[in-house]
Amino acid sequence: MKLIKIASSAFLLFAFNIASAQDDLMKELDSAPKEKVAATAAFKGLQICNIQSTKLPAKNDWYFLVSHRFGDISKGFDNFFGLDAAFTKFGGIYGITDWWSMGVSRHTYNKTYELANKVRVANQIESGFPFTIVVYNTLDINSALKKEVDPELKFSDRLAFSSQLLISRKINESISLELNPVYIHKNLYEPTEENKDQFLISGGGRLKVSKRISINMDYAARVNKMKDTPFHNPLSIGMDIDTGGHIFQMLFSNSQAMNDVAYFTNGLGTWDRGQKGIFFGFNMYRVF
Amino acid sequence: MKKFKLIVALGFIGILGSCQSNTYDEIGGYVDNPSYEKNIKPLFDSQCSSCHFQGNTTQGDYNEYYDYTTIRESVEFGHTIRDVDTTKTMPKGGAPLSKAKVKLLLQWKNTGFQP
Repeated sequence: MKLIKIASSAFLLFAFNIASAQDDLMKELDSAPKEKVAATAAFKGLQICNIQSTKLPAKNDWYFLVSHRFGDISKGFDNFFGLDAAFTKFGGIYGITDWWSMGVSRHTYNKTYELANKVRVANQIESGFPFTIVVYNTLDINSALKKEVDPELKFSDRLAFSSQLLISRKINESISLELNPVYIHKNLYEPTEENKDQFLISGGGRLKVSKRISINMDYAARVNKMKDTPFHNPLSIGMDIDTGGHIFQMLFSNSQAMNDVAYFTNGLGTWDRGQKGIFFGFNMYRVF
Repeated sequence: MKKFKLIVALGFIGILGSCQSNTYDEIGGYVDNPSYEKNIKPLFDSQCSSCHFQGNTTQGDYNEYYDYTTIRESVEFGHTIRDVDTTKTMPKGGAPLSKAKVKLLLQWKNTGFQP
């Protein structure tokens, strides 16, 4: 009898042990998806207003893009608020991988061809790494220069470069911020008005106001600008409209050009009251 | 993978170091005695004549600059210099005319509008 008691209690103990072990296993299974989850959609568009956002196309995505910056709206009916003198950007972007994309575009400004390269080096992780970091480079080829006009012209004189580090953080569901140190090098420059190497600190942000609409803003400050330069720091204020198929961005800016080199360093307009030069425009992206 | 990403990113920045810069003055070459045929006509052809060609009435009342007389008139009486240098309203749809080219126009004026 005693033997049976010991045996049964030992069995019970054993059984309980197994049960509790199973409990542990279940717990482990529950907590297993502690994988890193990247914070999604800090920005909806590839651009905030005119500066690049940290969003990249997905692998094998083709983006087709058309942007316009109309003329100076402060001239009123004389040029119908700028509609008579539009700049156009026309181009495509391809996502080679999820973290690497390349693009080509043609700009009205100086008949420029712009090659762009965008590489994401780090992703913001939910309760993990706090920032998304992207490297962005552009190469501009100015095709408006002519040998008949400038006899000493070499091909390298047509080139200009920008290198940018885009650091963004999605603060919460409705606010995302970005900071970009920018370096610009021009192979051809006007020594009385600009430096051949320019540094800028640029920043931008996005404020979501409804499910499909957000207000965006970006600004860039030139660190080593010349004293009597005719150019102004670019400030753009815009709005994203998510139409389902594509993101439609409308904006106002004091820099009419859309290629990064000229946008950052050759803005002729100003937001000061009574001064000339605010340009209305839009960016349109379509994904294939 | 991380390393490869960095190499791709840095590779593009590396290109920059190898480039030397010129000024607009340097590529234009210094012209002591500019002439209409050699210097001024090519400039107007590339910067102005897509709108200011002879008989263009399609987009309102354009001033037409297409030959020695019309171009000389505009430079002599100051419209050209005003629009490309002072107000920078011309040429439309591009960067403002470089200082070197403004200098060239003034030099042409000062040396008596060589044909």
